[in-house]
Amino acid sequence: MNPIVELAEVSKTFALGRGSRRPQLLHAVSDVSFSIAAEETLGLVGESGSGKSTIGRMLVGVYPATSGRISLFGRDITGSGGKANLAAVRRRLQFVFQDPHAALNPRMQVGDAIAEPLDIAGGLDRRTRLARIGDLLDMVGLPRSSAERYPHEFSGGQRQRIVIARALALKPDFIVCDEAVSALDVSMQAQVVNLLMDLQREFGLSYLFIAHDLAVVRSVSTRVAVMYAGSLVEIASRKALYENPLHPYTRALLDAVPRVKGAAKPRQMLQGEPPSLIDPPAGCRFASRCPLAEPRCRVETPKFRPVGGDHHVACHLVA
Amino acid sequence: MSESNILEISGLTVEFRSGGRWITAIRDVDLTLAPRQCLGIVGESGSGKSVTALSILRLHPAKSTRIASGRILYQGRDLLAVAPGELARIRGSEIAMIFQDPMSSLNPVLTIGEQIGETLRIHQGLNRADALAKAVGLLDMVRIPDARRRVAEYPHRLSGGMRQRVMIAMAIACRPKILIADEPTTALDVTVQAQILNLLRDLREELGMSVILISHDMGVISEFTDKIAVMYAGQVVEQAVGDGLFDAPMHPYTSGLLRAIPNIDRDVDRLATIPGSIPDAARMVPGCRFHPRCPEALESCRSEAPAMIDLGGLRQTRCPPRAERQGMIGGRS
Ligand SMILES: Nc1ncnc2c1ncn2[C@@H]1O[C@H](COP(=O)(O)OP(=O)(O)OP(=O)(O)O)[C@@H](O)[C@H]1O
Ligand SMILES: Nc1ncnc2c1ncn2[C@@H]1O[C@H](COP(=O)(O)OP(=O)(O)OP(=O)(O)O)[C@@H](O)[C@H]1O
Ligand code: SF4
Ligand SMILES: [Mg+2]
Ligand SMILES: [Mg+2]
Repeated sequence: MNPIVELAEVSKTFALGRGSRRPQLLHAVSDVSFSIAAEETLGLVGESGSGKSTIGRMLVGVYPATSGRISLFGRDITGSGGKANLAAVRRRLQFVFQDPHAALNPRMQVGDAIAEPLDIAGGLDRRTRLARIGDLLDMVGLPRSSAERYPHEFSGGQRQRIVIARALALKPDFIVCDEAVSALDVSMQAQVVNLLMDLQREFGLSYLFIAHDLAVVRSVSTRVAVMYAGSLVEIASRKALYENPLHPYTRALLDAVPRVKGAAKPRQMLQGEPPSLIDPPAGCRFASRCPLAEPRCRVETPKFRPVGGDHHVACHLVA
Repeated sequence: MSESNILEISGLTVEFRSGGRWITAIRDVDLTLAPRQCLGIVGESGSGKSVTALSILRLHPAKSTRIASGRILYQGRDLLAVAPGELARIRGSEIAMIFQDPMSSLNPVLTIGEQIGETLRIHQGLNRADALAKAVGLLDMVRIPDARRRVAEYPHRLSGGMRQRVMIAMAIACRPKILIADEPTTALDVTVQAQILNLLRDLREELGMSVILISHDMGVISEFTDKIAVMYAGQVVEQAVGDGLFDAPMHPYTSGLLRAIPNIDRDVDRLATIPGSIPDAARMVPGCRFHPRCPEALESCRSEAPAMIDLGGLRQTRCPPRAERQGMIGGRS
């Protein structure tokens, strides 16, 4: 299987307090490696602030990686010649970012916003263009009359669907979906997720699907990756991750899922505070909150390693 | 107004101007909130949840909005009629709002410390240094790591969930009597979400704060709220207290919604949906607004717009066939 997305030991730091004499570094992403195959959906979950969106942004070239290598469709977008390689694959990439408000120009009618990528690519006559806008609106469950309205006239979830329609306009091969469906009610969410999966089957798309809703991630993903404080802690097929989670953070996360009344288990709470990303602690970043932590966990950084099949985990205590 | 309610919305109808004509976004919304109570609002995307919430503090664009009818009584006064200056005082200090879209409500050119501090200076008269110190404390409370060092950052340098928590910190800064939270935890992982909900629970206890919680997350709604209103196409279609809604939904839309909750305990390849889509507000369907999608629709549903039916036990539904069946079977209420 040829991966279409590949990250090798990718890190990203941001400078804080620019202007002060001693700028500090925030370690947003540390040494992350994974790949995504054609027609695969990798779910990416984890703590708020753990670096998920930063990874998504690096993958579509919005942020450069500080170190490590990223390749898309077999081309390295990080090294020398990275710019040219990114330009060569740009049309095949799309993203739906977390904040729909920021993604839409308030002065542009919705139809024009959706057609913007088509217009940049060029070559559509008026009739075809209109028909295509209509089709895209149908796909995301919005009335065709939406085309002539402005973004502020839409609800949060409707705006999110407009952004999704635009991302689909150019029939990309890989889409980063960052909380793409979290503003939608469960039925609409299901409709969009089913659409994404149909497109995948039909056109062989791949997705990086970043979300906090662990049930949605389970239904959409082929494999699931879990992040904590800038590190990747576990990656596995969806079945293995949900039925046999190995990393203590993954377990804590699954235990904390809120459930509709009458459901099986009471919700467990993770104690303690997440670590600083400015002075990240030595050893495992989860050690300060981990119920299983041993002395070496606070000294030695656990390696991200295979533990059977395609299940990988970064924990000293997993055999 | 009943003595026991801190907020009473009645007959609220809101219209927007769009493409030269007025379109009704919500119609005849009735909701009540008691002290310390948490009212959950759920419903289809575009059904009017945010429009309802924004009406309470009159936060709609003035030029293109018309409140066609209704009253919003807060401690006996109609918020739709109070003077703008008085409303500005209430907003922030007594009634606070967490907006659905943090980026559109945070100021991009002010640091988060300045923004939280501003609220404290205006409403609590703190000086700059005290306001900043208190802002750091609030960021700690909402679990932003390195709060002391990050208080000087601009919103775009924070993660989505951190921005959402900054909004929460601003909203609770003045210890409001009513907190309106529109999708406050969508950008949070479940462990931070649990901590934030605990924090809000503590504030309810400590301050007697009431909460209106709008959310698509049925788990959160079920855990956190005492009373739930379900909205569809601009109307409240069902209301229930406690677990009633989950045990026995009394509206076919609610039933569909509950069936569509994704299952975390099994691998599925296709999610359940409610077929069809919400009607276009510009061309509202006659009869029950849900009838084109309703598997239980009768002939009468196509023509007669159902009124809200009281089922007793604080249950209400806008579905006459279900109400009738309830009466016939004499189920619990
Ligand atoms: N442009 C930026 N400048 C400075 N710091 C940034 C920038 N973008 C992200 N960060 C920081 O990097 C860290 C990781 O942020 P990121 O947005 O990747 O988190 P996330 O996992 O997507 O979180 P969430 O689930 O809350 O969206 C955070 O501490 C954030 O403040
Ligand atoms: N300023 C406005 N001008 C015109 N129409 C508007 C405006 N604000 C909202 N609407 C319309 O009113 C309806 C209700 O919107 P609202 O934002 O209340 O939905 P919602 O229930 O909060 O949905 P979501 O779950 O997607 O946030 C939508 O059809 C929307 O298009
Ligand atoms: S009133 Fe009729 S159409 Fe409407 S939800 Fe009930 S059964 Fe369905
Ligand atoms: Mg993010
Ligand atoms: Mg809304």
